[in-house]
Amino acid sequence: MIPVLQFSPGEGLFHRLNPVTKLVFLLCVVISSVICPSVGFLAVLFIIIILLAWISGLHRPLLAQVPLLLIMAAGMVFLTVITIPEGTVIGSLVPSMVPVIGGAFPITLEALEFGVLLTLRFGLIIVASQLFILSTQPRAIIHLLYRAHIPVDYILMFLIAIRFIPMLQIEGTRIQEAQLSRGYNPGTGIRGAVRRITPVIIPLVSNSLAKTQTIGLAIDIRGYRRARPTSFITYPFSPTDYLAVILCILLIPVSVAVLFT
Amino acid sequence: MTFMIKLEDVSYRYPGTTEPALSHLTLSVRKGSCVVVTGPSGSGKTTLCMAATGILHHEYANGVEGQIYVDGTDVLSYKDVSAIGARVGVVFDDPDSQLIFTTIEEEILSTLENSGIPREQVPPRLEKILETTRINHLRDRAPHTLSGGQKQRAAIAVTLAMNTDILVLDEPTSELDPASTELILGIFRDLKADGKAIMIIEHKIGPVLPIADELVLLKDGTITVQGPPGILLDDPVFRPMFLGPERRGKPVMPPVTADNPVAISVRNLYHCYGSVVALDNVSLAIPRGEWVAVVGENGSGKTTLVRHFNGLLQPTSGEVTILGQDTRNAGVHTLSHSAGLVFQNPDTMFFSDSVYEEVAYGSRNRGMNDTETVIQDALDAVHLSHTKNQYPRNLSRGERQRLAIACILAMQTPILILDEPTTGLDPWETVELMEVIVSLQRSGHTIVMITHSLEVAELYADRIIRMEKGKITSDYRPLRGTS
Repeated sequence: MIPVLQFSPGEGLFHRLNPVTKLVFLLCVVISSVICPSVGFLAVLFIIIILLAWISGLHRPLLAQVPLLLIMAAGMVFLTVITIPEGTVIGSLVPSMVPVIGGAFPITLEALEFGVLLTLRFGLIIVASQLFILSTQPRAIIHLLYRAHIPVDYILMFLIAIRFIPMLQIEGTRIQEAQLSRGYNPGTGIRGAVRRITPVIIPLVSNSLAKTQTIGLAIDIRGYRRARPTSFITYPFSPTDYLAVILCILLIPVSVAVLFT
Repeated sequence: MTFMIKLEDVSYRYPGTTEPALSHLTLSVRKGSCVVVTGPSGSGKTTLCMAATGILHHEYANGVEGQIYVDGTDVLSYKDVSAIGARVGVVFDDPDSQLIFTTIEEEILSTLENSGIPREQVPPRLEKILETTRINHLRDRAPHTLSGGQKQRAAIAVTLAMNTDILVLDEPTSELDPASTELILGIFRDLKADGKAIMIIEHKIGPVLPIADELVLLKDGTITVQGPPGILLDDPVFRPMFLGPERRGKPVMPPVTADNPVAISVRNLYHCYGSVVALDNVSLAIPRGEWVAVVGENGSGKTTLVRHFNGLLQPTSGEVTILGQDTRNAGVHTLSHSAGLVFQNPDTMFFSDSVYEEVAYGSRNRGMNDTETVIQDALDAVHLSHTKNQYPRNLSRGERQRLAIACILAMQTPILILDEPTTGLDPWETVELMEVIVSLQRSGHTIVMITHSLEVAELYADRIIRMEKGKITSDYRPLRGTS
């Protein structure tokens, strides 16, 4: 099992960057994705980020998200097709040969383009966030957020969330195995998915609630709400960081320029 | 006399309950001393732990009566739990939930950095803590990849990093093997010698007795007996109150011979997790009707081995056959008809609204007819018939463990695999559970039991298999009296 959204130790390009640089990268990609309306530009940006991940040795966890991204893309395109019926019609969701309702839900070029645009925007935000989390020690992120004067409760919420994800994954697997040992055989498809809910979700939620309480107490008792930690590790700002920050910030005026062309 | 923790006439009742969790409790822990608190499940031990650390006052609703002092100051005078945390290090009974970061090194480093010690002292302190608790080899591992015992050692290491003068430890050795327990006790002994005040909450006090200065027995939220261990444990009246009922072990039963048909056969089994060899050429045969205990240190491969018996794991190479069926040719669903695995934490399986429905689930999954009789028999076997309409999660830990066994029994599997069945049980619950398993063996079940307790293994099992680093290093029959 590959844990999702967890720091992955390594020595690649992204790992060597200063956490501030990586945060600037994340913010610039998010801003650029939101303001830039060009599918081509965002697609190039997406490819560049995947290449950077590959150079940094972080492509595997990103590629593991491809099925999720494809499902999201299909959902986005479907939603835009049924909500944007005006424009250049290239077909319909219901084939025209079907009696009575044939030709319903026309597919327009504009809807397809907007669906792909939304997919790229969300995809870029997901991929950039993952690169940030995969390559940055949570402790470094916390120092960074403290320095950015983010309220401590928000920082702790973030900390609990990233710790909880693998814990839930493992607990879910363990519960599934315990139920399999009891002859549980939910089957496949939608019926299987529905049958799977009660025997796995109820123990998962009940056990997780108990764990949440202990995590909260552990955080309190260890004083994460009390003081600002003094990191003994310094995070140097190298020439690569300066270059990366400049390139990331440049993304924003370029995106604005694309918006107005 | 300097009291580091002092509770005076403390009472507390959880909202919605009628019985108090703590009732007029008065207790103190001196500087440089160790107080061990024990008692049956539900006696209020964990509530006491939360009271002594100010959690009850600061995190729970009102309703705590009496005074609690930490390091000479009323807990209400502390701003919050974090302020008390600067004085008290706590190890909770669930080590998994108190490791917050993504590697063990980061966990300890973060605590050190947060403790406000000078920056240059952080690296040597980190190395010393890793070395003292012997978890240096785990420093880059994520908490979710560790065994229960390894997590427990890591949680203790984090508490050491806080360098507080007071330690409150809720079952700190429950998942440790004997060698790790010895190591951790040595650390506590040194801490005590350094003047730290230690309160240990334990179900099974045997391992922590060498460092105890005072024993406290809780029952129904009240201290029933309190005093020095030497005096209490020499007293024939008090001794069983602390150490539990006399363990007579298994009565004499007809010997299981190797001539019996084989229930489980393992041949040249290897299992690898990535590049880590978890099982290294393991071979064994378990005849039908035999009770085999698998012992060994944390991470020795015990759980990996038994997970092959019901198909949750498949061999990397080698062969496992269960009642003559090669596990490579059968899925978990098929093998669940032959071998039932009871997980260490029974709460992983409960989802029904009643005990009866919970037990019925497995037999219905098998498509059995006349499930009513089967369910009733399973509940009778574990002495839980009187609870059949209760909500499973409201039962005590010992009852939940027995319910987990009933859930498997109702599937009528001839092989029963138990992963650390006595973890978290008090001595009375342990004996009750073992007697249930004795009766199951008598009725023809083959039993495979993973345990850290060599004492339990030697008292009840027909055969003990010791594992180290993925290999079977010894396989013997315990010498046992007939009484």
